[in-house]
Amino acid sequence: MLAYLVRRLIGGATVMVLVSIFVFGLFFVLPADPARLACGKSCTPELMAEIRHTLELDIPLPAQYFRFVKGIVSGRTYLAGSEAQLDCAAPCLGYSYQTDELVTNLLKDRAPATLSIAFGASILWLLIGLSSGIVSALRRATWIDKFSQGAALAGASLQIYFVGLVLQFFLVDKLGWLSSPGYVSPNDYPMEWAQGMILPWLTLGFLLSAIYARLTRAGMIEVMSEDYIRTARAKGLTSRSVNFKHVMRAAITPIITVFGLDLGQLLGGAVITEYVFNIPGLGKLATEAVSNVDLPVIVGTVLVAAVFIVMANIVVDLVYMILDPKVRLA
Amino acid sequence: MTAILQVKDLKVHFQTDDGLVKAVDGVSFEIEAGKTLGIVGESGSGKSVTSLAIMGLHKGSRAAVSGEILIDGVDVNQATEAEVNKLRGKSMAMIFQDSLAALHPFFKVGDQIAEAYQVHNKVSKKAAQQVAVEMLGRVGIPNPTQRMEDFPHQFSGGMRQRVMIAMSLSCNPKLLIADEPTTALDVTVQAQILDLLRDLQREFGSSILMITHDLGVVAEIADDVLLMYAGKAIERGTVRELLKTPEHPYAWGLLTSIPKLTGATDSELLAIPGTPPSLITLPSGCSFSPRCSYKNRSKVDCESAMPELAGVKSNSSHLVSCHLSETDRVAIFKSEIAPKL
Ligand SMILES: Nc1ncnc2c1ncn2[C@@H]1O[C@H](COP(=O)(O)OP(=O)(O)OP(=O)(O)O)[C@@H](O)[C@H]1O
Ligand SMILES: [Mg+2]
Repeated sequence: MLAYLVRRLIGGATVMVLVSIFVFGLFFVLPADPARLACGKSCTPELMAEIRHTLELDIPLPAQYFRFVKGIVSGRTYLAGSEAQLDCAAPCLGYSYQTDELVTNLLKDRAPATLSIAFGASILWLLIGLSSGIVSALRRATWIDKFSQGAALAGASLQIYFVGLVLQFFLVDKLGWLSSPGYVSPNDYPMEWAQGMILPWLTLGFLLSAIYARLTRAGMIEVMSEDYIRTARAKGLTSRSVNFKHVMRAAITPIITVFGLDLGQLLGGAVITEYVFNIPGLGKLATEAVSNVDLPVIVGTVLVAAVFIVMANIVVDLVYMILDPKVRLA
Repeated sequence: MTAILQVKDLKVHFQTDDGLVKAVDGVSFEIEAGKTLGIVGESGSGKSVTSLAIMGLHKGSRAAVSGEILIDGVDVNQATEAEVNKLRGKSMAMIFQDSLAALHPFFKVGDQIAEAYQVHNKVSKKAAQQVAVEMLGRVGIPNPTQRMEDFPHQFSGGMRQRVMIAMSLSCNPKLLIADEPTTALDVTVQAQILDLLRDLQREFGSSILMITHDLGVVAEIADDVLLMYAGKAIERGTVRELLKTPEHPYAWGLLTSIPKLTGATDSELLAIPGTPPSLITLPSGCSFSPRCSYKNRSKVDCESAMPELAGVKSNSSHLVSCHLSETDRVAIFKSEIAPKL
């Protein structure tokens, strides 16, 4: 188990290196010149050269990448020795061209909003998805199954921006049942935080629950036809024990896998949700950075998203090992 | 003698897209306390469907079950799921053919056995675990305390079938239904499992319904035999009667098709010609008639009707469903079948 974990961590680190090389390469394949972007409106050739030097863009490419990685690992100092010396502590991802802020500070500022969305939405989509999937599977071919199947189909085919805007129009603008979506710190204003988050949670929760409802229903129906479920019935167990212990235990494994991966992806930034509801999270930061060609911020957000996805994969595989004895002992 | 199980005119029909499958069509039998009934028939003859009907496991499926299945004074077919749950495991328990598929892959075998005990006994988890250890030891699994913690896939086929047996016997059921428990095992293991079942039967005093397509297994363990063909009982009697003086041409075919090691020079492998009929469009009359080599000897048209399952004159407990007259059957058996056995 430990050896496996070490192997997976090394694998994850390798992926991260590849991702970092890839996004770092963006600096140079893009037609935009980073120095020109950082230079601003009143740019002169002298200023540009100075910036080129400040940003260490005047050294060979591999050396730049090496410093970039070294900055992440052990920090980095720009213009060392000069008066304008800039210390960027590890993990250093550089400065935003747009705001001159540390990229890591931007990421730290934006992470709580994304975390908030992911927290509530994932609870909601698990609750809705699992319960409607279970009811569907147990009441197969009844109206309640057809209804939940229909809702799941709708959820799977609708888009966040559409559902989000429709919900906002009715629940906020027309009926006034909910306050406008937004983000405040849950430490300072817990009530306002929850109120501002309801709409994103509902939208994301409903749309993603569709996948879980279908996955749960299909998984349970498949497991129900297994021989070992017949054995469980032959023991004299009530249908409740059969369904909730024997069937669920086998059907839950793939659901947990998908859940881990979805959550990992969401933690890297709920791009569309944040954009639609104007929530200042990592996804919004990424879209802003892209539209401003703010390369250090783009690199930072991509790396953070990649870290979450890689970690989610590792966690999911470990959980899978715990859940499935066959994998555990193999 | 008191019958533990009485099955009267059992019918199990499945409505499928291709038509009505009459998997079991009017089968009756009973099993007395402490006795073993073997149900024999080739693949698809309705053996498993019969055993599932006894356990009430067709409930909630598309199967239409009719007839009477009496066990412990309850008609399984009329009873609700809750009523049948009281019988399952305690009055009747079942061992399935494929033990790997029949045990839950994600639960430890110890917990699976303990659970079976706890369904009918209000005891702590710990006490149930203790029973499970004892049962595992009783069915001959070495180091039962340690093996409790293992999962089904960590056992060999034979050991896993022992786990199934331990689980099914944990509540000391009156009737044990074993659906081809040894088919997936090699011959030596098969013999061990049969020995084990016989020993346990003596110890626990259970009746056994042994389902098999192997006449060797029947000879080994059964007191009585029911021969099934295409969903119907075509011959019934004691093991001796069926193996020594079989009456139905299908039984002749089965017996003469067993390969023999001795006298290999003149013994030929006599498979029964043809294949079992479709259960949707059964042949008219006797369903075995298209494959019967003796139908032209019958004075009655074999395609006219399905013959009644009726007592053989000399012995009313030996029943057969055949249009051939008894004298013809005796004559054919003497001259053509007995020499080949
Ligand atoms: N759920 C079902 N729906 C439709 N037909 C079924 C169903 N279950 C069983 N049958 C049919 O009933 C017939 C009898 O099946 P059964 O499983 O009892 O055979 P069997 O005698 O146990 O054979 P085997 O020796 O292969 O186990 C088969 O033709 C099978 O196709
Ligand atoms: Mg079968």
